[in-house]
Amino acid sequence: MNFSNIIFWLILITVVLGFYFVKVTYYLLTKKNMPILIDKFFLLSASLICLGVASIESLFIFILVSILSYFFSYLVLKNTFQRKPLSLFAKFLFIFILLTPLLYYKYKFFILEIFGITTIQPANFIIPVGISFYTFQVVGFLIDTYKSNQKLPSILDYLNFCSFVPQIVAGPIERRENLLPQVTHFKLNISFENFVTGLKYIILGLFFKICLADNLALCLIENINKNVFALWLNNIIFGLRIYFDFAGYGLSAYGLAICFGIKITLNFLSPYTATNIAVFWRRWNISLTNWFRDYIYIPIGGNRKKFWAINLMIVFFISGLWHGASWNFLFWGVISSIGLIIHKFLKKYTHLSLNIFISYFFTMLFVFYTWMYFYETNIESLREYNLILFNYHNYSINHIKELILNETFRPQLILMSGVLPFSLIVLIIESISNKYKSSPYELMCSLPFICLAIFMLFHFIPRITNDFIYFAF
Amino acid sequence: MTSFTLHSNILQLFVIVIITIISAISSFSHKMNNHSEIFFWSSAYKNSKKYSSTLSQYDHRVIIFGGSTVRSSYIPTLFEEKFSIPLVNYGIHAGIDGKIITQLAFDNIKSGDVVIVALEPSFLSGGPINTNVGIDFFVNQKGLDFSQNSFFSINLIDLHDCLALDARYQIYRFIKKITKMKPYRYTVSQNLHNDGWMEVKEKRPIPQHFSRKVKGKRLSNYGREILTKIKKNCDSLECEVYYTLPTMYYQNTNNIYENATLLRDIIEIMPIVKDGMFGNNPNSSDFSDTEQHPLKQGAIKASNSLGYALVRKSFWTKEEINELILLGIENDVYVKE
Repeated sequence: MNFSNIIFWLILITVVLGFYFVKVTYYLLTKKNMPILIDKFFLLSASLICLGVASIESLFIFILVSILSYFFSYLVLKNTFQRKPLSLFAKFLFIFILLTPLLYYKYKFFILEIFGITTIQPANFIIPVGISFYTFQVVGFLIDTYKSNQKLPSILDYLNFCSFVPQIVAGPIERRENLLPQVTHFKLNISFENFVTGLKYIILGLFFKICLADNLALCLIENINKNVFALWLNNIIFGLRIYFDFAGYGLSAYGLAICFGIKITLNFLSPYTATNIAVFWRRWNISLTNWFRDYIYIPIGGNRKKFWAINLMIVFFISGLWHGASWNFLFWGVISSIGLIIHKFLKKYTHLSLNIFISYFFTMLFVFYTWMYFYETNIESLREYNLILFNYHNYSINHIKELILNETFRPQLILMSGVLPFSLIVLIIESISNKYKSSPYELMCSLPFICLAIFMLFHFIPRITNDFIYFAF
Repeated sequence: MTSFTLHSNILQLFVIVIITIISAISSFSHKMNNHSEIFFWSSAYKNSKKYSSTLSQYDHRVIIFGGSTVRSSYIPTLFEEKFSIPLVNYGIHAGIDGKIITQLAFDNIKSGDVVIVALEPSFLSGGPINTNVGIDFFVNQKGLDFSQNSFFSINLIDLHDCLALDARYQIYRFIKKITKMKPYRYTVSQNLHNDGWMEVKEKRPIPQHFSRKVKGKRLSNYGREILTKIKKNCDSLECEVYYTLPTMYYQNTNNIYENATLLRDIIEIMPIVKDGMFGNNPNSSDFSDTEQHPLKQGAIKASNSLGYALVRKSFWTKEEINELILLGIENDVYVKE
């Protein structure tokens, strides 16, 4: 399920071509088109094959969660529990049961650690592929079905909604009203226009992932030697890397979905061109942010309540926990929420209007600071990093000199000198496209840029490739 | 869809396909023809092949292979002139990976030759090195024919990587071009002899290691697999096969324990040449730019040490290796495994 791995594409292309062959043969023999049901079966098979190739255990867990959620939705719609308190209790129980595999696989060791039980995570213990994403998608479906009392789709359409191949592993977390109608009417008929448009997004996504994210990963300085500038560089590089990595996945997923004639959510809309933290969060991992907004933030009161700041903190706390079962992610969530609370507070009570460049500077300073809590899992190191960052004596010319002249930093600095300018150029193009076009990536999907991206994909690859970062979440 | 849109899409797809083909050809051809690192090691490999053909007066040759330590440590002409040993040095850059180095050496081994395996201990106690350079170098030497390989297999990802140039190389190349530096730290004219010996002349300070406690080394599954296959292939070719530790710089003798524990595993697979240096030359002035690359005087010492051992047919016994391990334990230089 790794878009940057040629094997994934070979499997997918083989499956699609195989199905086309069956379709054509059927038509030649019967002079009739295949029933649409077969197309839907094909889509489901392709998704399950790709998931099964990644891991059989993941496939099994996925089928279990999907079937259970379908059954729970059926019970909810049947109004099995007619008395309101019982119905509410059942709803929470269903959600809890659906979350159980996620809690078990992702948080088992963390919960045991909290209770002081130290167990060593076995080396072969793996978190099922995409569990964080599809679990949230099915929970969202259950809540939407309960709220809107809409008709339950057929099991085939539902499984296609849960398993749609481009987005099952790392999102976007799709909503019932967007994806379900499209898979319900799915017919495998790859049009030339969709294919070319989709291909461009796939190429752009691969360029983001391979040429930018994976090269940025090699720029990270392993031993910062207490140099504050090296630490800031690491924060910036990681921040850019995680963006290009995840947005790269999202763009390729978006492109692949277009090839199938389905439009999914673009999960990123150039967050690094946001001039304040609220806008940043509206553009970062959009489907997850919206999920938290609609299923947690608004139900607990949202902006309407006196305690909106606490509500925000709860949401970011859960978001931190969703990203990983360790303390650093919890700190990341809490600190990110503090940034957003300060922004909202200033906006609400002081009507302070900062110059756009100053606002941008502080937004990015804060965002890149918080990424430190994402990549550093060791709490003691985080404490040390904070001491380095918040000691103004460290911001001296000597430390800059040391950064430039110290041989241990040199290989990374040289690589950075090539990769960082490319990353900045891409962000500038996103900003221009955002201003003058309908999406930040439209300009980059123009033919000249795609040709440049292809050229770079053959002339600017990293020595070592990594999996997509969000696969781990 | 209007016919204009259709034509525009066909045109766009055509351009995408053409650019993809051109980019692939351009990067692959650069790698095969102008890549400074591949060019240097390819020349070294070719020099060894040529030198081997000049040894026709001998019935059988002695083939030694390993990483760049081997290439820079053993001087073939010295072996021939001083010991009448027709040694051919097939050491290649260690980043190429042990299995590929072994395969390229075995492509030149004939029935009855003597094979000396001098793969660095880090190869044998560790895992494979996943760099594109190995496959690139292999393709540069042998084209895309992977059918005759007995030491490694290749997958589609390797082949795809083989087509592309890496960013680090491109950035370094660009910087070196504008600062007029050498494209690669070694050049054929300055560092390569006709017999295949790589002479490293540049002297850089060698880092001084503090006295440390060392862990014993064990043969990894990867190392065991390579050595077992080498032994099997040599048996089928009726070649004698030995292992020798390539000589590197260590400030103190702590590595005796490290090497001895590794040799305890290796001796179960093949005999080990007792060359007297035991993989260790403690004199930093004998080394050039790294702990692995000796200067000329260091290479002469390493060559003499191996040459005398081969003439004397001197090999380590299991008992001697166990004694060395005990010596390391007595001197308290090890960390219990």
